[in-house]
Amino acid sequence: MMDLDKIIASLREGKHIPEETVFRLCLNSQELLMNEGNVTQVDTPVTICGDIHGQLHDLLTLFEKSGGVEKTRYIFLGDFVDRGFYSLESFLLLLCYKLRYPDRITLIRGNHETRQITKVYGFYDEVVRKYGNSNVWRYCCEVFDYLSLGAIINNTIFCVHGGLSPDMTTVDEIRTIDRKQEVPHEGAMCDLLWSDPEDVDTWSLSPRGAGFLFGKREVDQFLEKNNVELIARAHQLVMEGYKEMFDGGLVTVWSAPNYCYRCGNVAAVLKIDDELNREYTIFEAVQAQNEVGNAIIPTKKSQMDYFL
Amino acid sequence: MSSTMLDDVDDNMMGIKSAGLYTLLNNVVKEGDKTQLVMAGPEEVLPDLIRHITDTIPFDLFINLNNGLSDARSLITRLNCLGKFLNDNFLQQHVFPFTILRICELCYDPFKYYKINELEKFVNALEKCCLVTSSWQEHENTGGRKENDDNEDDINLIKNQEDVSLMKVPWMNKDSSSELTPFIREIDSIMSVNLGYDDEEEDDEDNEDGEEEGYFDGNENGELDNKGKCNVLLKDENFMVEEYYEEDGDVKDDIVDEKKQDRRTATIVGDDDGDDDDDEDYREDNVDEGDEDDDHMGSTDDDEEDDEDVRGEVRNIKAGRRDEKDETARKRKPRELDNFEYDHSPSFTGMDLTTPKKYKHNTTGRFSVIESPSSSLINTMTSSHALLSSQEEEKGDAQELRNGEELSDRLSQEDELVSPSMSSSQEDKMVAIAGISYHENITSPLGKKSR
Repeated sequence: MMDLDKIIASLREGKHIPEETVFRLCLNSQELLMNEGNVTQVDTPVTICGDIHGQLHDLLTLFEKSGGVEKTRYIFLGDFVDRGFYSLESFLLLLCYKLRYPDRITLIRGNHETRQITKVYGFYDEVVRKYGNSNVWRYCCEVFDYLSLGAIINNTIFCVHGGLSPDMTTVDEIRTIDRKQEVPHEGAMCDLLWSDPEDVDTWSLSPRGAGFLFGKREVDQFLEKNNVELIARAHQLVMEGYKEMFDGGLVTVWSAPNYCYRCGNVAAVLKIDDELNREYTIFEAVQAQNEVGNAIIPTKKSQMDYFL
Repeated sequence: MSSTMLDDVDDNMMGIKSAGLYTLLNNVVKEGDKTQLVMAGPEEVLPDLIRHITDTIPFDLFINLNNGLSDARSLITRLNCLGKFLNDNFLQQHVFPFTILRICELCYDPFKYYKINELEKFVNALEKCCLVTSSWQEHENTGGRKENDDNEDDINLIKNQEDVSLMKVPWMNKDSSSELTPFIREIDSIMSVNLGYDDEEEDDEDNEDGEEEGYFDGNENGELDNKGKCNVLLKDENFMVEEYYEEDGDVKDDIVDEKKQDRRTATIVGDDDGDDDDDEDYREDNVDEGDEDDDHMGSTDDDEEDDEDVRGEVRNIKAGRRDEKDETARKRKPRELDNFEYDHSPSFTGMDLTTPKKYKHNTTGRFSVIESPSSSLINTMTSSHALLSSQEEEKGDAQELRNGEELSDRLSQEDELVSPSMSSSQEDKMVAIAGISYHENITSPLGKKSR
């Protein structure tokens, strides 16, 4: 049944969604995403959110702390899946919100929204564990291919998952990329999803093996050339939840508190109001147990012990 | 229109001019009663809604036009485009867009979301909602499940159960459950002796796949297959699936032993029939995925040895009556891409109620299925007799290996039960995959020795 409100309700409880329903959700999401440009336009007020990484319960906290989808627009800067134990639910919840409120949610592709990465970092395994086959993973990967590469708020704040690319220095150039593909190992599309800001003089090799390191000079050039005030990105763990760099020309927003259930960091979202003021909201990870003492985070402890 | 009337309308009907549309939107948005939309139908709702979007909202509600802002004209054009789009793609097709709920919400009370001078943002939002092609009705019908058979409902019911230990399996009728009785007895005996299996193995991530592959071999025995179905369908969402795989893997060794004896008994006849239905499903998938799987043949497998042990035992039973070749279990490397063009229809349909694991393990299953004596039944069902003659050579080899008793037994059941192998096209593929050794193995009885 495609009653989105019901699906959203069961996703919020972390319940199983039938394969067929996931298929429909993915198909319809593609339809919406197809209409969006590589750099999609977003109006203020809007809340910018960083990496989620399958931490469904923290994603719910995020919505709660920042007003909810009824009250404000959201941009998610990618990396919805992998690492956490609820990648599928987190991603589907975002998709459902997108389908239910197409004008309120903008999803941007992160470096984890690819077949290769999800295969290694948890999403694939999670789907196979939950469904016994990889079909759902395939459906989701198709959706990944349609995700926008960036967003621009009121033509003054550029949002991207990773950072800048030496190949493309203007937003308009980015708009020309043919994005409907698996993220390549090099080139502008790859750089946008993989690059990191760093105190470097010029473009430098990234220790990640993909993308580049870029410094204040590159950021300033980009800001001036595109008449943009701020680059908002995610991609890197920030213990304080957010970190402004280069005299406020770039900000890293991180929205996965206690990353990987062990990093002990707080998370943040960045709210941009109509006057383009920045307002950060900090939040912490949910308790590892719910009110009746059941672990929210699954353990590896074998349940078969019960029988032994 | 006089200003007093406008005020009236504003007070009473959120600025919506059509009383019918107002009542409807009020019900849908405020009361959350979506059935109203279905009952009214697109013919009744959409014309008024389109008029509301293109006329009332820009001219009477937002103030942009009155202020003579320069961008107002282009906004009107965009709204008119949306109106035309809705008319052409949905009203003419007698359907709603699947985003109709959001469109209703935006149109019912634009000022809940936007300031009175933010017509542009409103148009942006409405464009995002309207420019779709899928219809809402489609969802109701295909997703509604109402006209579907109880079977699917039952399964959904099971999925929503917290505790499924004592649920009746919906697709289980009396016949099939009586067939299962001897097998259940077997399981019980195995379970009682096999309690001390090693839990630690589970921590090894690689093990999961390995065990599943082992499990798949079990499917050749037909009865295990049924058990697999139970496991998947009954599994609670919170339940750790790995245990099942593991259990099957361990259990199989014992089953195999017992089956050595059971094979001689009459139960095998019934079992073979059971195999046919299920195996046929694999075959379709095997063919589909064939090309894709070729890429993975070379991959190494950490669990190879374990699998070989299990496999070896299974083979021992059958070695007497079929040729085989030595192939090792292969497993996908984590970095390998699985990017074949999947079928765009969801596979969760009635006939696919076999365990999903089978799909995943087609890659190993292909070999097993081909070798399995029961799969020859499928070949005869799916391929023509002409095919058989083309494979005389193999047949001869295979028959040499069979003992007379079994052969005659099988022939008496169905006289076309001769081909031990697959269709020629598939054979080509096999050769491509397995290389020269494959040919050696199927043509020479000695090929078996290489194992």
